[in-house]
Amino acid sequence: MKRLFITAENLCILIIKLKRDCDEFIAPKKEHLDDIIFGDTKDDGGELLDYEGNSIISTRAFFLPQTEPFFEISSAKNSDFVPIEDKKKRLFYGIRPCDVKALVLMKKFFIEDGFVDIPYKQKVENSTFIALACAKRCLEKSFCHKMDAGPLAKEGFDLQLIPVSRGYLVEVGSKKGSQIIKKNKKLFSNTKTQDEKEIKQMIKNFAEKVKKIDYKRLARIMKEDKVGHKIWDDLGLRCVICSGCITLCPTCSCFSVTDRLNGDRGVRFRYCDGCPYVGFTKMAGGSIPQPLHKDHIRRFFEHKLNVDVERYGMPSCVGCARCIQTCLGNINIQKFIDEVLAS
Amino acid sequence: MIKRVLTTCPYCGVGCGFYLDVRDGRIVGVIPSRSNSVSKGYLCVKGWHAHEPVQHPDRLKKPLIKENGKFKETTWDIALDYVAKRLKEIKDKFGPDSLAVCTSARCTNEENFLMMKFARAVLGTPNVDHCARTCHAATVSGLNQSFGSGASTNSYDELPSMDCIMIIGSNPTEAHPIVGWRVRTAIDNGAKIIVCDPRRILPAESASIYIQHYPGTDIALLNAMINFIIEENLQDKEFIEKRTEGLQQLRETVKDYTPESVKDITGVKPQLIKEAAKVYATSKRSCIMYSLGMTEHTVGTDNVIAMANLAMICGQVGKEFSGLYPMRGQNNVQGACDMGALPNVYSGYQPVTDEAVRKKFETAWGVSLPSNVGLTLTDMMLRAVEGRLKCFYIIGEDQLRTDPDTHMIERALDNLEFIVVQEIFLSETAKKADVVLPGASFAEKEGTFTCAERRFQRVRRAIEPISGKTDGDIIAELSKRLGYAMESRPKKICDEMASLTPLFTGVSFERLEENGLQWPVPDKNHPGTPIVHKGEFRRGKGKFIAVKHRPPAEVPDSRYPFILSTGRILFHYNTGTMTSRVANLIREYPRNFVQINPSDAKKLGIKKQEEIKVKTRRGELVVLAEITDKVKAGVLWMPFHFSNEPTNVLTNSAYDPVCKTGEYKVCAASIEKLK
Amino acid sequence: MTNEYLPKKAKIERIIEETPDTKTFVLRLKDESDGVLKYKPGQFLILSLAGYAEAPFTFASCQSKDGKFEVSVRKVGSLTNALHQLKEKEIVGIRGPYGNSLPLDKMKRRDLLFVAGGCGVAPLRPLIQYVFKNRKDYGRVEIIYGCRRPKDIFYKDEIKSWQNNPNSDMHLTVDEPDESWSGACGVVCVLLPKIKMNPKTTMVFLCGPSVMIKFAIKDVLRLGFREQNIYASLERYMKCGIGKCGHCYIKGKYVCLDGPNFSYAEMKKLGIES
Repeated sequence: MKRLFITAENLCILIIKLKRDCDEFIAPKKEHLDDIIFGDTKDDGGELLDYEGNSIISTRAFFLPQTEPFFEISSAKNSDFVPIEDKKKRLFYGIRPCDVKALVLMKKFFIEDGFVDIPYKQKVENSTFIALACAKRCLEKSFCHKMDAGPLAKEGFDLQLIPVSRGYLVEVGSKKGSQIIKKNKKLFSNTKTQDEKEIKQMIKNFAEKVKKIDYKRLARIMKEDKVGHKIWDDLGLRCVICSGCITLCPTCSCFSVTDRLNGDRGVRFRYCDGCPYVGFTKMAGGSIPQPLHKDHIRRFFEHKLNVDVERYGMPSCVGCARCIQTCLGNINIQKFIDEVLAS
Repeated sequence: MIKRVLTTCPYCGVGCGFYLDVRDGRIVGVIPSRSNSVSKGYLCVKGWHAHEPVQHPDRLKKPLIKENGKFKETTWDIALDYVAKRLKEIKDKFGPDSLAVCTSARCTNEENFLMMKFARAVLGTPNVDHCARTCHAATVSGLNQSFGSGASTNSYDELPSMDCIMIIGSNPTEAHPIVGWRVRTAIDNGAKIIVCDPRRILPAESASIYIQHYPGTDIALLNAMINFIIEENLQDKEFIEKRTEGLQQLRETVKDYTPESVKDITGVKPQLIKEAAKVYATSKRSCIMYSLGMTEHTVGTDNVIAMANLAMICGQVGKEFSGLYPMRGQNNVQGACDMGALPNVYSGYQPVTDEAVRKKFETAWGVSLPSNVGLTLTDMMLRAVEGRLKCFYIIGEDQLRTDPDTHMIERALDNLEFIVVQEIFLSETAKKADVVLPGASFAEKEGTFTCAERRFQRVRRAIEPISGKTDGDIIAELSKRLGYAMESRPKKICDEMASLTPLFTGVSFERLEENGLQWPVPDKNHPGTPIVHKGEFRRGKGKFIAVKHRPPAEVPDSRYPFILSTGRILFHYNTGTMTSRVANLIREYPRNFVQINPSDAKKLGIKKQEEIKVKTRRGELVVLAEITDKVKAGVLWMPFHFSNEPTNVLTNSAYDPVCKTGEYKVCAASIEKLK
Repeated sequence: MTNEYLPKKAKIERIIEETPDTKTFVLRLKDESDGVLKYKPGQFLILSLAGYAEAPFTFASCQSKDGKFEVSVRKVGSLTNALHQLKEKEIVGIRGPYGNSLPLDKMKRRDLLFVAGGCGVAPLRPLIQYVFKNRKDYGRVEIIYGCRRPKDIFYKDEIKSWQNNPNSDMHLTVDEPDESWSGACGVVCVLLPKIKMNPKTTMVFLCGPSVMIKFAIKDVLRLGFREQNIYASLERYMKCGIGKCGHCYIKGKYVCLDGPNFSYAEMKKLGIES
């Protein structure tokens, strides 16, 4: 479908209209000093229309939050569990292509693969996504282009905005997206050839000096266990189980469930859990199937770079570099990929 | 509604900043703050879960009064009226010296200021102290003598650029993870790390030099290093000449401490000591990082002085990329010390015995204040056992699990007339109280914490106090009932504190908004002080003080042949009242354990994860055995985080005569297999 | 669409004390609207106890018409301890059935060898009961069951009926006999060489502590049994049961979805045999 155009002023008007139809308008918001975090700007108008970089948290924090009350336990004795539903209508604005790709992968995992995760599905069904393509690489460390997750999103959005000098180009990605265009026809106009030229140049600049990685080859090397053991040993020495990576990664999906009771009533939660913890795979009798710490980190990397290539045809690492910016051991997944492919 | 509240972590002394992610009144999670200069977007596993204990169902919500040995819930008015009445009764009957206040190193600066004010101005007692007594009191007393000021000399951000970091008696990876991250970055940048620790901690795996000395032999080790440095002429003569005094006396003493002569005491090869000394002395940017491994000894003050000597000999203090980093344990233990919650000083370390200082406070507060130095926590317990202390008001501290020789502490508490404990969970100490007052967590109050690099940082309220009152509110209301009106608004308390404290005059909530301020901040325009003792030490010239090796109070013998040392692990915090309520953390380490060397385990026939009995002269404990070569043969190590398996029943309460810190790091123990 | 995480209510109809630390709970779905729980031998359910979260347990009895199903629970942690405190008529939460079942069709007309160690007899019991119910569909049946001590034997009465069953051979052994014990002694693997079954065609089903399974598989392979005919259940801590939470994930497979029952050949192919 052909692209449309919208000016910055009209975009503001569009946002005002869109805010009326949603319960929460999740957009990048400036917090303290330089921190940008996705927040609800429906009432305070603090959204950043265009911004540099990415939000500290990804969209996952809204679909699989760090702690999520699942069920209200209205009577522990009678095993009465009442589902806590989240049916809020959310409009996500300004999502980067890396996070959009992550959403696609998470949707496949939670909704389209095998059993359906109802709590996740509920939230996604009530969400609308307006992506914002990246005019330039958000950080030195991000490598979305290498992971085929930027600078433009290919699918998974309702609308995608691409910044050009005179405003934004608009791509429609779904029926919901075209509905929005239809309802606000007056705000949109046609593109000009100059716009397309700009985009071509932008993609060229983005990809400059950055080669796409051959992720199929990477997956094969890992599957055949040909990664140097020194690499795994070094990772095992660096990781101190801070859990930052699994909490911030937009495609991490592991969780655990726990109950918090107060007398006969309480709440059943699901909370973020995952690879680095020794206790994650600990069994009822206390034995641990994989006791070596370096094997936990290995599992994290294998899952994202090897197993998911087999499952989904692409790695589930989207190159957002959030884990790199929070790892206390200075572990860098991009360096890992380069090292493995180079050897 | 989604709200992000920027605040400071309530766990260790590093002082990381993060946002509490509040949605519809529930704290959902934690978001790291990249713009925070301490944590820069990094957090440790405890920080990532700092929100979980806040709204846990076990939180104390109502005051409790003990009736016939059982707690009964009651209202605030009844509880506060009762507490005020009893405090007054005991003060009138036995005198103000029979009362003692233990403030909380977990509460804010403002609340600590109120608490020490309450003790001195309202109760009229000089007996106010807090848990710095059990950790870094030696730093204060030691560095005060050497430099004139007892706090970290440099800032965290200098660490990644160091050429040499000597880590002695500190485990930054586990006890101060975000500083541990900076050490990791320094290693990646090519820095040489010297690790001196009886246990092979994680940094030792990447260290250039790893010295595994016996617990309690640090002075011998450091003196030997100084001996070698002087012998090889590696000292910084210019620095010594211009900025120090007392070298002669030091030379006289370290003459006897050649690396060869300390081989047996320390258990370290002389060559290793020489190498370490050389690296430290010849690196352009060297610093010493230390923590409780140096201070929790009967020679804690001397240990600190020895390190100060080493730093001064090499000119590695009083300038950028050098210095001493005492890693403070708790989120606000630095602040509690700074606010004068100590028996001998007011806020900013102004001595209580100084006439002019006392008059200043008396005028500001409108009451006469005690002029004598009060009791330390250590002495409070001893007095309680003797029956001379009658009443203890404990805020946010779990002495029954953190102080050495638990059975003695229990006797002390049982002997008191009246105990009030202000807490957020029903800790073991709270169970001994006559009245329990439910306080507020870090997420429920406004205020400031001061972290280990002397930085004041803001703490902000994310939800209303679950019990209805913050700790500051409680103190103010008690004070009102005792006839003294107190300001309870944190902002105003901060201003009052600043007006009375030359060291922090320029501190105010507005000025802390961006990235806090490192003290000294002597006036309202001062930008803060990242590096102290630049150009001149606080006392003028740095003082070399000769210290000699003294063996620990209790050394192994035939009945108790092992050295037992204690410490922290990454996943838990202090007595585990908070971390045992976080699912991910308690799952990693649900139970206490003792680390024992494989050769010792083999000799005794102990198998992996076997339950064994650890015994000392003070008590015994059955724990799981973890067989590891991280500890030297003859040495045992245990964490103290498990309330139902309390390690401190074993530890020795013998203390450093100067600062009164207990010797947690060394005592004699034996191991028995269970039948 | 059903929310798989929502537990159904089940009532404890009866509690049987098997050994000092194991109880068998006979359960039935409480609400009529939930119908009857339909499952196959080898599958598991997730038992949910408010305040203690959830844990997986294999069905310990085969499908019966009255809708009752059994679960044998050993006291090892906080949830199982709390379960042991419950009484008859109390309610627990159930999710499932989950997991793959054992290959009942492939087993038809084949000779079957069941090797159970300790509490491993519980997951094999539904299969054995099913085989006995449909005895003529299967060939020879031999059962080896070993426990540490006589008092650790589960389903004592039913075991007697298996021993007395003329259409099958049952070998019972304990490691540490007491005065009253008159049967075989030694670990399960000691009895394996005594089995006279055709190793090329017999299907072997193993269940027990992982150490026992490891050695048993070694012995059974040495005796010539085929990799594709040897079945064991892989021990992993399954939590959600539906392949989402990641606890049982190993090398790209979710034990709760693709297992927990695997043939040794499958395990080797997936690289998860250790």
